[in-house]
Amino acid sequence: MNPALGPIARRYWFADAAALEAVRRAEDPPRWDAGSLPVTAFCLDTETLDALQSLAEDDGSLHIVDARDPVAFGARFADELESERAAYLQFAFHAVEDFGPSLDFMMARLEKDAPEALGSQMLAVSRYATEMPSDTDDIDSETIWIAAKRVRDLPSSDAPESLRSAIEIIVRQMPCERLPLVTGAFYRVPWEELEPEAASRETALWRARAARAWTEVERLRSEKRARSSREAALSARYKRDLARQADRSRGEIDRLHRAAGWAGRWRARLARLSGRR
Amino acid sequence: MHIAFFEPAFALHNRRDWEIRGSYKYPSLLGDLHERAQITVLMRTLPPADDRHRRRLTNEYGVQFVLLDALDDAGEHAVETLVEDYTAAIAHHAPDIVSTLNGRMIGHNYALARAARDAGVDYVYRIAGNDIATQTAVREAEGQPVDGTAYLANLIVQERYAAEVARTIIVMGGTERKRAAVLTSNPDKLRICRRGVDRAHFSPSETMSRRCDHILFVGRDSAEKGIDLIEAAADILADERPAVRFTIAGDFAEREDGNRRYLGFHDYAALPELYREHDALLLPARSEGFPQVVMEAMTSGLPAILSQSLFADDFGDNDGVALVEHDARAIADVIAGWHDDTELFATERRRALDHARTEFDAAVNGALYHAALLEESA
Repeated sequence: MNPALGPIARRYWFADAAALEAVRRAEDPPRWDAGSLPVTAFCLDTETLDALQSLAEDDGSLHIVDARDPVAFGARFADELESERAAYLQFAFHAVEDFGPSLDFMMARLEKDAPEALGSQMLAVSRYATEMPSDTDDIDSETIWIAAKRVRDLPSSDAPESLRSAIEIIVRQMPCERLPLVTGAFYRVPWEELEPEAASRETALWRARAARAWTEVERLRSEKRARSSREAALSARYKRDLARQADRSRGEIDRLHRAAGWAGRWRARLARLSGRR
Repeated sequence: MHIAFFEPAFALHNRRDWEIRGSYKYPSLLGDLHERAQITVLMRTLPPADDRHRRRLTNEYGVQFVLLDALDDAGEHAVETLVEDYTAAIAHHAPDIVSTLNGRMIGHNYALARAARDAGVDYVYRIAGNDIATQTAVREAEGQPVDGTAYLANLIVQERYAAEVARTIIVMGGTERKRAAVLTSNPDKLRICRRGVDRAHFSPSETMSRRCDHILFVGRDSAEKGIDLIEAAADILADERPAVRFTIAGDFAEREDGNRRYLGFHDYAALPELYREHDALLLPARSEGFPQVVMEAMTSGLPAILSQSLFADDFGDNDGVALVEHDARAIADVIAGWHDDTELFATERRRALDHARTEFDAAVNGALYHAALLEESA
């Protein structure tokens, strides 16, 4: 990022209570190192505003916009667009979990190639499972980075849903390479999910919780390996230090011995010269 | 040109693994590469300096063995540390290209891709098989959910990252090429490079049987290999074709069970004889790359019965291979057909040998592999 020019890209997240609920209810969601993508959160209700404002206190990359008043939504959105310094924008209508390294790769591509738009893949997280990338032509706005200059003329009085349709139309009309790279996952809101039958729900719940437990097992194993490796490294370093200390002592003794020999020889020579023994 | 291969550690408790790698896997992959590049092999634990395979690789294949200061844990919670370790190793040894010789799990490849990208060196992704399918089959069989989990999601993002970052992706066959093509925005960087077979070592028996009586499986005792299907097909044929016998060789406790014989590990020197003692290879795996045993068996004159889903893009109708669904009845039917019709079986044998001669020769495949490793930086 060049601070003089602004960030390469920014996410506009139209956040509501349903998006937060989707995050809360997911049983086994991916947990990735998110990176530090600048995000502007348009909070569409009070619950979301309160929750995200408290997050923003510790997160400098999160900018909060109070967008609770539907009548003023268009104006607030237009104001943000007007003052936007990022070269690319992504419009998210779901909560998103970023995969930092892939996102970093995308940012590098945007900066290097300066395309009109560039797309990636995202996984969809529902309550019990994470769906695999579809590799279809379906477009989720969360997967596309659009040059900010291409969206400056978006209608300013629209509500988030019609904004979503407008963005999807823009994306379809412009050339957009879509990389198979998975840059993250988005959380499906409850009404986007098919609620399974009771028996299937039990199975799905068991699988999700068992998977989460296995993840914890893996974490503990990794920790154990790291600890025993650290102990082994410390032990090796201790032995190495002891060996070095012994070498140093041996060297010092040799030096003293040699010095004593040198001094002794000179004493003998001086004694001979002075006739003393 | 300097190539660094990041390899699994040498383990005293798993000497067989090093035996396979050191005695023929690494030599057959490296060949004369040292005439065109400096070769460094990095391992967390090295084989002893007087190990005969290490000495041979050093003296005849120009390999410099280097200790890798890494925990070698590519699990989700340790992979960032591995990235740092690989990055430090690349900074220290300054290779132009990094890759792996042994097929490694996705986490290792992801860590290597990250480190290579950070250091600005070429990364060659050698995909030895469908690691996701293998891990799914093995872990689900052990009762660990994988489908639809965050664990699988993590493997997918890592695999696609490694594929996108790679300068070149090496796959073992047509089916894997098809699968890998959707992992990257540039499928043109995919190359098919098999390890190939030394035809001086593997050759058909001079007294090949005219009948198909002895069926061979060679591989690990692992859930994705389809051993359950082999056993079910053997059960079917125990009544229908009592003369047909099955050998299941790999890492099994040696025993006889009806028409089935289980065998333990066969080293490289013993493999040709094992193939010559049998008439056809059976490998109904649910997940594989392009197994070496298929190439070795066909070079030894054994037609093969393989999974349709894994080999449909590798073999045609006239290549000495019968492709089957994961279904014991279908497998039994193919074996019964070859057993009953000696003329058909002789034709399949000849086709298998012809195909192996043109496609699986180690020298030809080795040259392809070296070209793929060195291209663009050469």
